[in-house]
Amino acid sequence: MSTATYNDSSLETLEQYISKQREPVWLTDVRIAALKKFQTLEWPSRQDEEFRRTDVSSYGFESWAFESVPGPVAEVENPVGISGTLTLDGTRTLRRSLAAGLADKGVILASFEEVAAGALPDTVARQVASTLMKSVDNADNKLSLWHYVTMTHGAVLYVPEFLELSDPFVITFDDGADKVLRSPQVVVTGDRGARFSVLHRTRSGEEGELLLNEGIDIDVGDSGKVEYFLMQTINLDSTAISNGLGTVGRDATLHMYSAVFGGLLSKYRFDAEMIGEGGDAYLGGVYFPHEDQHIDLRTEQRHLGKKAHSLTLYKGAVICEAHSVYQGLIRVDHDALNTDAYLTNNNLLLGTEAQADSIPTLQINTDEVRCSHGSTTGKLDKRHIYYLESRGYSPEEARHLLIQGFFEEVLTHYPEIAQDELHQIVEARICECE
Amino acid sequence: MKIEIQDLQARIGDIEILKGVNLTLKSGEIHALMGPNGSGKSTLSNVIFGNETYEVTGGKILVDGEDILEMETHERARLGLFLAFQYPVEIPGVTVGRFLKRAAEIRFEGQKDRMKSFVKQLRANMDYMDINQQFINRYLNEGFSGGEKKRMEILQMLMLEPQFAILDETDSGLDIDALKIVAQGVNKLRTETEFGALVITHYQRILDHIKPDYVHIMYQGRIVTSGGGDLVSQLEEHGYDWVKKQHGIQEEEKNEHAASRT
Repeated sequence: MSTATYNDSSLETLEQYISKQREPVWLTDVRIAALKKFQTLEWPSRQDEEFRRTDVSSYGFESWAFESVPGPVAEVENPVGISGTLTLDGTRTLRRSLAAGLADKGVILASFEEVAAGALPDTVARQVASTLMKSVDNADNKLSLWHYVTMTHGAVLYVPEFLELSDPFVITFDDGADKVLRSPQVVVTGDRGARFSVLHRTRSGEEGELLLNEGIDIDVGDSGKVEYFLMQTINLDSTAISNGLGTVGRDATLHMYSAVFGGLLSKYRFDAEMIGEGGDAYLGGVYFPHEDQHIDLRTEQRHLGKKAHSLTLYKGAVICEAHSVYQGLIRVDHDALNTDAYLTNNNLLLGTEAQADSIPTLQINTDEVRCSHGSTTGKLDKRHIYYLESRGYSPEEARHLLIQGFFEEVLTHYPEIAQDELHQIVEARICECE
Repeated sequence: MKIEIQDLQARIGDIEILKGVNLTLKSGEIHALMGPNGSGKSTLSNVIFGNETYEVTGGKILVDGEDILEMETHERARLGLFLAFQYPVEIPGVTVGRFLKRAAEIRFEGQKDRMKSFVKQLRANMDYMDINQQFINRYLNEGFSGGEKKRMEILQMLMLEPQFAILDETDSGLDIDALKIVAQGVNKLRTETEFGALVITHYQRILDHIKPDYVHIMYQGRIVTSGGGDLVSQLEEHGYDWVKKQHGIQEEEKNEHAASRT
């Protein structure tokens, strides 16, 4: 990786950036492939369906500076109850730990600069390369491609076949910088039959304006199971763009949980692609924009393989003058017979100025499927409040309990170490604009 | 606890439902309130609990001499009143254990020793009500059958030990086994604590298992007659028409509706 700072994203600068990368050819190839598509596209505008309700035209993306400064990784003691940790600050990787014996079993938890230095064995590198290339192919907007061109730092997690780990890996991105573009990338590859979970935390300092353009790519091998927990809590001066793709193999399971709380503007997207027969995906999401925050989320359940099952449950509350947008799509390919796919979006309006848009869509290109979607948007149910009051709860306490409960269906799945913080964030926001 | 309902009048929208209800209830007494559909029984229970869907247009409800009509629902509950709902709501994301623990903390505020034995007591009461212990971790009423919801209401009542409870058609939709369990819960509090209840019902059935001290019959928003337990069998024998004849009740509601439209 290169240590220079790049002041813009003109084609010339991006080409120069790529040429300066000291990394394996396969990684550079990903950047080049992304750049080719990048050149052919315009920045998203409100003419694009995905960005119709989220205006990013004022960002001047090309003028954001970026850098990719590596740091020496310190090996630290691994915490009890965790399979491994990787902690980054800005683009530097600070610390790493791995539970005893996992390295010998073939588990790799590497920072992007280690990957650049050739840390991955050829077989793993091929898998990571193919995962990234697939995402470049999948990318249909310039922001996502921009990410794959710039990838400034990140992590790669590889778990070998049939290894089952009950404790989560924890990957943490901290950032205290101001006025910079970051393009963190996480690649998670579970080989055949591997079963494990990952907690991905994206945080920032209280101040400092970041433009975060993240990529999350998860490949669940046949019969494997990956549970991925995203928790994004950056400050309200910053902007978060996140694009993810999960590929679910034959009889494999992906549970992708996303808690999107931060960013004055957050544009989040995750696509789950059911490529194998009998795959299973669950996409659980929570969001709770407050103040004048704007959070836009999109999920896609894409069924290519037969007899696969997928379920999306996204739950959001909006308070103050905040605005949320949720777009969910179930897309069933003509070969995906006996698909079973559901999509639910529930929104709670907690302020008279708050707004929640919900747009669930089905696109079904075959017969013999079971698909449905449902969406609700409304205030807290008065009957629920009355019931709790009849048990002695004050109206305020009833309201708190109901809102916490509303999110609980998704949050309850998060690893223990994340629970307190998630509940505190929700609790703090409930109290606003009362 | 003494509850005195005096000339209580209430309406929902333009429709007058309670037209001067007078009733005195005390801890230590079991009252049955019977009457046909639409006579105002559920309205009465909701008005006692301050449900804001109903507008009180006259009268008083005194609890130990204090008028509670200006109190909020939770303040009334904290006096030691309990309402077993006819249709308990489902509360997603809130477990039975979490919900009940906090409710018990509010009810028994300042009694630390009591909260220490909360879980033990909860488990014992669940056994008593024949509720699977795993329900502690289930979301309140979510996916429960009708009978399970009703038993859950009575479990809550056992845990919160009210001084006076209103059971709003808790028996409706229950099979005989579930009905017996519900009655068993009421009788437990009746024998073990200073407990009173107003059992609202259509049917005699539940009153075979919870013997009332007093029976009241409600018709068109008023209590038209009151008596002892024997009133139940008279009603069962002769039906509500008998009550109407006895008390000279006219079908006044239709006329009123006509009047309100003009």
